[in-house]
Amino acid sequence: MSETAMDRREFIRRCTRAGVCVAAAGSLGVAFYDSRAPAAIPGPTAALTLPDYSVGPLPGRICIARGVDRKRLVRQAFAALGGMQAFVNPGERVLLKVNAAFASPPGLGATTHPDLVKAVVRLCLEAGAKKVTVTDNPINDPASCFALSGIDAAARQAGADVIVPRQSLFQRFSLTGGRLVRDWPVLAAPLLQADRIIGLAPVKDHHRSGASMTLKNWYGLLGGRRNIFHQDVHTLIAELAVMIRPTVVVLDGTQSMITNGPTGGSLSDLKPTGTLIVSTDPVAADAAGAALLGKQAQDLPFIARAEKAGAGTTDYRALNLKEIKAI
Amino acid sequence: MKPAVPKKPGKIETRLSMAVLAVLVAIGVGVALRQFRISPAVLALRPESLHEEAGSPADRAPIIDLKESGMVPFSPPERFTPDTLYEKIDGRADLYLAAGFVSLATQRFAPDHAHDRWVEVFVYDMGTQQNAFSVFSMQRRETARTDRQLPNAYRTENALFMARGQYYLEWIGTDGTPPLQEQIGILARRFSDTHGGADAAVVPGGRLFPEAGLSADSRQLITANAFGYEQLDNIHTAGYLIHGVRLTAFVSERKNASAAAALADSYRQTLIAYGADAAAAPPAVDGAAMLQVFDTMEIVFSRGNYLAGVHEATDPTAATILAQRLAEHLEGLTGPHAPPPQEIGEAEENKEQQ
Repeated sequence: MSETAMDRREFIRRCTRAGVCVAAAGSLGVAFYDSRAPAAIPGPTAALTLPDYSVGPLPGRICIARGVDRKRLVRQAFAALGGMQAFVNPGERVLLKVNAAFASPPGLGATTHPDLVKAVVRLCLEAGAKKVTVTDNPINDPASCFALSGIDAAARQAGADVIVPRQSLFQRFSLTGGRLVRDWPVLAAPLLQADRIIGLAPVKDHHRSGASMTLKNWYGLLGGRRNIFHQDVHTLIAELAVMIRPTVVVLDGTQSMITNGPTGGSLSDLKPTGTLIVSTDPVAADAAGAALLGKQAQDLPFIARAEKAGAGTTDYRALNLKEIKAI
Repeated sequence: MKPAVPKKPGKIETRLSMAVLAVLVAIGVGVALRQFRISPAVLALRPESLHEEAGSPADRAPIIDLKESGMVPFSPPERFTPDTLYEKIDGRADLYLAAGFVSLATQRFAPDHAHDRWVEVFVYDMGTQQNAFSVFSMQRRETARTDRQLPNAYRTENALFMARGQYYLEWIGTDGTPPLQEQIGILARRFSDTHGGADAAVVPGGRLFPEAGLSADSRQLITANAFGYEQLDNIHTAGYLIHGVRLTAFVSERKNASAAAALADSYRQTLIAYGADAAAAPPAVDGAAMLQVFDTMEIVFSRGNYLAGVHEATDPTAATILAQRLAEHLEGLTGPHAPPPQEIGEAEENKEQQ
């Protein structure tokens, strides 16, 4: 086949057509391109920064109180650490992060005991807190969990508001340097409205992590299908320890769930351990609380990882330790 | 001048172009369709999906027959699948999933006009009787008392736990008051009446263990990852008291003798890899190895199709006695007078529980 010379007009016409086609295809591609991944939750994706709620550069403080009455224990433990006014200033808004994970009665020890909630709310209000709110994101139906655990009634009777989680309260959050907490829905609104955060957790056995105490309690701030983190639960708990720098935590080991945790179900899963720990250092609180489950801190990898991540110290005796017996 | 390229394309060129355009259109249609089917993983991340299945109104009928129980529903029934089980029991879901969990139905019931007390029933469908027994046995409370009126059931102060056929049930009361506990018993019997299953207590794998020294209600079935070793699945265990020493024996039926021997060797090697030392004096059981793991002893051997041994023994003498009894017993199961294979490991009446 013989080659013939190109007609200039034809050449330009064809080039123009080809160019228009390429431009049109490119424009369509740009028009349909979505640079963002599908949203985990609807709404804005602006970067979320969580404040540091800790009491400042003071050395860590911890009080281990022995006794059986939660109200007395927590009041006297705080008194030993300088009173609630050492942690909450007049006019501040305080958020209590309870463990309301299950719609089970308070006597089974699967959730934060309402007596403890009531006592801490009152302490905060006595210290001059402008507002106290109580929240958690349970995995069971939230309204049922707050109602049947007795937390809702206790909090309201003591003068606090209860925030039951709903979609609009979540925002996506990425932990700087975090491997698991990346672009994940977090119960942000109550956190951002608070000046202080106090964690209130029961001592429980946990089938997956070995124990559920103050550090594991932050798990309840996550939304979404957070059970996928169970595959690497120790790392996740350590990241949560970095994510939330609480003002103080209260670990309730007056009764500890020794077996079949975290849900338990039987009163025989509980053991009277007569201890309540208040600390500005959640790692220290959990390290001390491990003994209530017959374990040592090194038996629970999340404690060591949280310490390594800079969230606190396992050497709770090196802190300004107070040990009291409640009277 | 004659144009370099004919104005009208040739047939081949036209067909080729049409084919390319058809492929592009197909890709476009595919992309358009795909965007309406977002990945389930993405959907699952959305909080609104969290309670979708838990509150499914598909079946609002009570999950238990309440006739003559004096109880009324205190909450709607909830149903959970392997994907959503964690929404109900969080980290404990792993135990059930490993044991073959199929579904869970839960509901709360309260005595009529007394809504400050209630019972929540958990009906786990575990697929098989073996699986149900596995979760039942692994969670048995040490201080529990056997329920005399219900087979494969025990009570604690506030609750009743039972295995019935392929179901494992928990009846969790808010307290231990006698009226509430009596009503729990009525509901549990009603469930047994309507769901069949054996009238006597059943213990899968019960014949695998010798009777001498056997502790009542101590048998367990660990379906996966027994003793922290992934390859040890379907391990039956039983507690013994020999010369005042508490011991745990284990047996697992494998496909054939070589599989049992290979697993025994693999387990032994794994223990050694993790720092176990061979005991100075091997036990007087043919082919058995005794390993010292920290301050406990582990004996492991095989007999015919069975892997067997003694787990975490604190006294080597008592452990050796138990290993000898276990080996002799298993030889009886594999010898010429052995019962038919289908009877081995089959449910049997547990007289101790009656």
